[in-house]
Amino acid sequence: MFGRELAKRNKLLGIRRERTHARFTPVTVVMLIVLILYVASLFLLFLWAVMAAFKDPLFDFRVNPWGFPREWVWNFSTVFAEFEVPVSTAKRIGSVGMGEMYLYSFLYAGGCAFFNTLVPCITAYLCARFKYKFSRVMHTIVLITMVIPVVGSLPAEIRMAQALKLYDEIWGMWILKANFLGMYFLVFYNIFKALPDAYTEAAKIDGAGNMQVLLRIALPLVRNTFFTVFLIYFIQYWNDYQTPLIYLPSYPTIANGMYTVAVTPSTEMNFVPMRMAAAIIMLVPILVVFLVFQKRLLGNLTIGGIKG
Amino acid sequence: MEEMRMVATQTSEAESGALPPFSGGRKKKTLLKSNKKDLAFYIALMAWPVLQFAVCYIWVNVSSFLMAFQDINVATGVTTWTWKNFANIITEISWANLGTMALNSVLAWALLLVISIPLGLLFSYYIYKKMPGSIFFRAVLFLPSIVSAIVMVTIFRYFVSSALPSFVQDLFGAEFPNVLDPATGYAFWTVIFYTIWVGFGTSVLMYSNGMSGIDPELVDAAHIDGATGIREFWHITLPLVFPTLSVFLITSIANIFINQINLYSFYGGTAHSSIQTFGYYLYMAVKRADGDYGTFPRLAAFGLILTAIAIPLTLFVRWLLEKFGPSEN
Amino acid sequence: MNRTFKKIAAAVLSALLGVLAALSAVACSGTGGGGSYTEAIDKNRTQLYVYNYDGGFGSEWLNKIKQRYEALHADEEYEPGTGKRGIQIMVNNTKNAVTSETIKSGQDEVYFIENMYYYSLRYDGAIKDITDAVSAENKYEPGKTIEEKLTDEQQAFYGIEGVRADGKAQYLGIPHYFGSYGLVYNKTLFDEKGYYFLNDYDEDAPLEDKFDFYGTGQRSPGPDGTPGTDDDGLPATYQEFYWLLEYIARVNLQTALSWTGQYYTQYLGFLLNALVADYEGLAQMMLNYTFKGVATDLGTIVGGEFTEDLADLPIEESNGWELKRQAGVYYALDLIETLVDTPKYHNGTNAFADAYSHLNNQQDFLMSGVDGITTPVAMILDGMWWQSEASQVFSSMADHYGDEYSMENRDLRWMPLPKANKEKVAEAAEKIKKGENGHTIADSLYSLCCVSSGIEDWKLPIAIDFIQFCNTDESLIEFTTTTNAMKALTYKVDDTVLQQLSPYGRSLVEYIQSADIVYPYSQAELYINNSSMFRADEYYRATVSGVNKTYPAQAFHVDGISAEDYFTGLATYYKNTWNTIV
Repeated sequence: MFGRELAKRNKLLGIRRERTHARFTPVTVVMLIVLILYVASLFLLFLWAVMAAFKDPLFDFRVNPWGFPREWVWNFSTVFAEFEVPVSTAKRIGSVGMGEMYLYSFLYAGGCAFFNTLVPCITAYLCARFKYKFSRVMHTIVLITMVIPVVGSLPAEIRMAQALKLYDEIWGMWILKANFLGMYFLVFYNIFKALPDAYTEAAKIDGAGNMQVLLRIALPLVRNTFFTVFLIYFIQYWNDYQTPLIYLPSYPTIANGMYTVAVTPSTEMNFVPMRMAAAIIMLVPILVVFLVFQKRLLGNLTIGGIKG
Repeated sequence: MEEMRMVATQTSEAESGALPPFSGGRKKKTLLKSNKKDLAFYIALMAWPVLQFAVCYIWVNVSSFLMAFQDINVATGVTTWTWKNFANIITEISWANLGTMALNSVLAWALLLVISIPLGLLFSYYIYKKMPGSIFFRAVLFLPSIVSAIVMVTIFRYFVSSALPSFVQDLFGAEFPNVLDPATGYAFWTVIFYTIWVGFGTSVLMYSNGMSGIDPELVDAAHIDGATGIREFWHITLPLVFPTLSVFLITSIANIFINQINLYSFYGGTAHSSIQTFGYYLYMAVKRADGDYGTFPRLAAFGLILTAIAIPLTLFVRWLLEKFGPSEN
Repeated sequence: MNRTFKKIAAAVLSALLGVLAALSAVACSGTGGGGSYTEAIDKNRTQLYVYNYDGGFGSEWLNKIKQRYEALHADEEYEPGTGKRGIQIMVNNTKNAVTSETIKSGQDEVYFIENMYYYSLRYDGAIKDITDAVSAENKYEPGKTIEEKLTDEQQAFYGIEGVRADGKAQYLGIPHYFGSYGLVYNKTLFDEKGYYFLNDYDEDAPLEDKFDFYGTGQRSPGPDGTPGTDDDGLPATYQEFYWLLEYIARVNLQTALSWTGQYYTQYLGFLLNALVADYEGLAQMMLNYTFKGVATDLGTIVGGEFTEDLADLPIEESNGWELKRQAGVYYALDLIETLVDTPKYHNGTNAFADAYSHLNNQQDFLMSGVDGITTPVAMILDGMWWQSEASQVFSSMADHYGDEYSMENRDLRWMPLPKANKEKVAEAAEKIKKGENGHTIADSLYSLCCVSSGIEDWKLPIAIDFIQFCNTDESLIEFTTTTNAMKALTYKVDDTVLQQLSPYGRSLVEYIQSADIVYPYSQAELYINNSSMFRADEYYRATVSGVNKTYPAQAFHVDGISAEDYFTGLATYYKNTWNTIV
C-alpha cells in the first residue's frame, strides 16, 4: 500500500498531517444541529427537575408545573429529615441516616464493582490465551446466560445466601457479585484474543511464569479498560436499590434511601418536588465522581479494538 | 444503567508503555513441561469462577428450571411433575397476544439496531473527527447514563405528560396529545424514543472512543490514497470498530427476548397489550404473581420457551459474525 | 475549548463539593426527626418486636396500643433470673415489603402486613400456629374470643381443619384491617350547589328540575331506598348517577368525578368489583371464591341486551368460569364504560395521564376551588384510606388557609355506591326494613396479622398475649377512632365513638356498619393455588376478537370495546383458560 509507506516516511521526516480535522460540509452542520438539539433536550429536562425541586409542592408546583418557581423554597431540609431508613434486624435496630448510607453505598458499589470486574477479566484472559476446549465452553456459557430470563429464583437465591452466611454482609455481596458472566467478559476476551501470541511467549521464554505474565503483562495492558469497566459497574451498583433492599437489611445504601422516599414515600415526601430534591441529592456524589474521572472514563471506551 | 452498553479498551499510550520489547530467540523446547504448568495455572485460576458459577447460578437457578415442570399445590403442600405448564401458559397468554409481543419485540430490537447504531456511529465519527464542540458533547452525552433509571423515567414521565402539555396549553392554547396513553397511538413510539434518547449518548461514546483507538498512520495512509469522508468512514473506520459492533450484535439477540424497553418503569404492571414485549410480559407477570407459588411454574415454563428460541439464535449469530465479519487485521 | 472546559468543570466540581459538604452537615444534624424506629432498646425490659406495614393506615394506632400494653405489664417478669421487668414493644414502621424469607429470618416477631398470601406463607413455613390466641378465651376480654369476631367465611379461610391433634381449627394468622375502593364527595360543595335529587321528580323534566337547587325541597331516599337517612338525595341508581355527573359538569361547569390517570386501570377495576359485589350480595359474590353453591342470576347478551338464563346453575370448581356471566358484572361494566367513554363525566386527559397519580388527584380534590385558580372537583374515586395518604395536604392547607381546611373540619363524605336500577334500590330498602344490611362491600387489601416462625419458644406466649390485646373491642375501637377506618373483624362502633371521628370517618364507618362484607378468599384449592389471579383488579380478563384483555377500563379507553362485547369476552376467556388452573 503506497499511502502507508508515504505516511511512514512523512512521520520519519517530522511532517505532521492534520489527521483528524475534517472539512465543514452540510452534513456536519446538520449533525452539529442535531447534537445541539439533543444536548438542549437533556438540559431542558434537568433544568425542569431542578426548578421543580425548588417549588412549593402544593401551592406552586400543582398549578405551575413548568414555569420558574414563584417563590424559591428549600425542600431539601424536609428531604434530609425524611431521608432515613428504618433497620430492624438481629444485628441492629434503629434508623440509618444519610451519612451512613453514603458509606454503605461506597463499600457496596466499590467492592462489588471491583470483584465484578476482576473475575471476568481474569477468566477472559484464561479463555482467550489458553486454547483448551473448556475455554470455548466458558465463552458459550457467557452467551447463553445472557439470554436466559430467570423466573422466580429469588427465594432460592436468598436461601443460598443465608446458608453460606453471605446474607446481610457487605463482603457477602462482593462474593455474590464476583462472577465472570456478562458482556464485559466478551470485552476483555476480545482484547486478550487480539494480543499477538509473541508478547507473552517472549516473556515466558525469558523465564517468566504464567502468574508473572498475567500480573506484569496482561493486567497492566488492560488497566484502563479495567478501570473503565469498574467505573461503569460502580455507577450501576451505586444506583442499584433492589439488591441492598433484599440482601442488606442492616446496611441500607443511598439508593435504598432514595427508593424509600421516592417509591414508598411518607406523606411529607409524597410530592414531585420532594422526589426531585431527593433525586438531586442522590445524583450529586455520583456527578462529582463522574466529573473527577470524566477524562479517564471517556478517554478509553471501546471493545476489542487493539491497534492493528 | 443496567442496560448500559459501554465497553472499553486502552489508549495507545497505555499499551506502548506496558508492552515489553519483543525478544525473539530460543524456541519451544520446554513445551511439554510448560503445558503441564499451564494447565495447573489454568485450573487454579479457573476454580473460582467455576465454583462461583456452580453455586450462585446453577444451584440457585436449577430450582427455577425444574419449576417449569412442576405442579405446586400450595393448599396441600404436594408437588407433582407435569408437562402441562408449557401448553397452559400459551393458552393463558393466547396466540394473538403472543403474536403482538413477538412483533413488538422484534420491532423494538430492529428500531434500536437501525436507528441507534447508525446514529451512534455517525455522531461518533463527528466527535472522533474533533469537529466543533466534540469534547463538550462527549461529556454531556454520558450524563443520562449516570442518573439512576427510576429517577430518569420519573423526570421524563412528568415532563412529557404534565409539564409539556401544560406548557403547550399556556403558550399556544393548543392541546398536546397525551403521548404516553396508548389510546393516542403514540405510546409505543414514545417509549422507543425514550429508550433511544437515553441510550444515544452511551452508544456515541462507545464508538467514538473505539475510533480514537485507530492507528493514525492508517488514516494518514488512507488520506494519501485519496480516501476521505464517507470512503474513509466506510473502508477504514467501520471495519476497525467492528469488534465493538459484533459484541453488540450478539448481545442484542438476547434483547429481543428480555428487553422490556422501559415499559415497567413507565406503566408498572399495566402496560397495554398492544405495546408489550416478551421481556416486559415475563417481568411483569413474575412481579404480579409475587408470593403466589401456584402460578409460578407457568411463568418458569414461558421463560424456558423463550430461552429455547434465544440460545440457538444467539449461537447462530455468533457463528455468522465469526465467519463473515471483517477480520481484525 | 479544552482549557475552558476544564476550567468550567473545575468550577462546577468545587461548587458541587461545597454543596455536598453543606448537605452532609445538614444531614448529620437533621437525623432523628420523623423517624420510624427511633426508640432505643431498654435493657431493663423484655422486648417484643413488631413489624407494621406503614401504609395508608399509618402507625399511630399501634403506638397507642404499645403505650397501653407496656403500662399494663410494667411489673411483669418475662425472663426470670435476668432482672428484667416489664415489656417494651419495639415497633418497626416501614413500607419495605416482606417475603417469606425475611419473615422467617428477620428480627421482628409479630407482623401486621397487607397484600400477602396467607397460604403461601404457610406453605413456606414462615408463620407460627397462633390458635391459642384466636379460639381460646381472650384474656383481656372474659367470655369472648377473637374467633367469634370473624365472619364464617373468614373462619373457613384462616382456620385450617384437620391439622391439629386437638381437633381445633389451626390459625396461623388473622385478618388485620380492610379496605375497598369507592366514591368520596365534597359535602360542602354539594350543599352549596344543591347536588341532591328531589323526591318524586319528573324523569322527563329538564335536568335542572331534578335537583334541589334551593336546598329546601324534600330529597329522594337515596341508594338505601330509606328516607330520613344520611344518603338522602344522593344518586340511587346508575341513571341518577349519570344525571348528577351531567348536572355538575354541564350546568355548573365543575369537574364531576376525578380519578388517578396513572393507576386508572386498577382504580376503575376495583370500583367495578365493588359495584359487582354490591349488586350480587354476599352469597352470590362469594361463589367467585368458594365455587360451591347455586348461581341465580347468570345471563348472556342477546341482541345487545343482557338476558338472564331461565334456570339457576349449580357451581363447582369445574364450571367456576360461568360466574363471569353474573348480572352484576354486566351492569357494572356498563357503568365503567360510560364513565370512561364520556369525557364530561371525568377529569379529562388527566384521567388517563401517566403522571397523574392518586396523590395528585387527592391534592386537586382538596385544593381546587380553594386556590382561586382551578374549578372545584365534586367527587373522587379512591380507596377508603385516602385521607391518611393526604394528611400532609390537609395540614399544609390548614396552615395556609386556616383551620376550617383541617382534616377534622372539612366536610368530605364517603358516598354509598348507586344501585344498578330501581328494583335493586327497592330490594335494599326491603332488607333494611327486615333489619338486614342494604349494601355489600368487597375487601381488596388481604391484610394479615401473624407471628414469625423464627420466634423463640418462650416468646410465643407473649406474642399470643399481645395479639389478643390488639383485638379486644377496646383496641379495635381505638383503631377506628385513630384511623377513621375499620379493622377486618366484627365489632360495634356506637354513636359516642362516631362523634370522635372526622366527618369523612363517620360517613365511612356508618356505611361499613350497614354493609355485608365480602372477604375475597376461600379454602377452595382452586382459589389457594391461583390466589394472584383472583385479585379484584386481575379477575376481569376477557378475550375479545381473539385478543386477551386484562383490564376492562383499559379495553374501553384504548380499544374502544363495548361493555356488551367485554361481558361476552369475559366468559370466553375464563372458559378457555379454566382448564389451565383447575
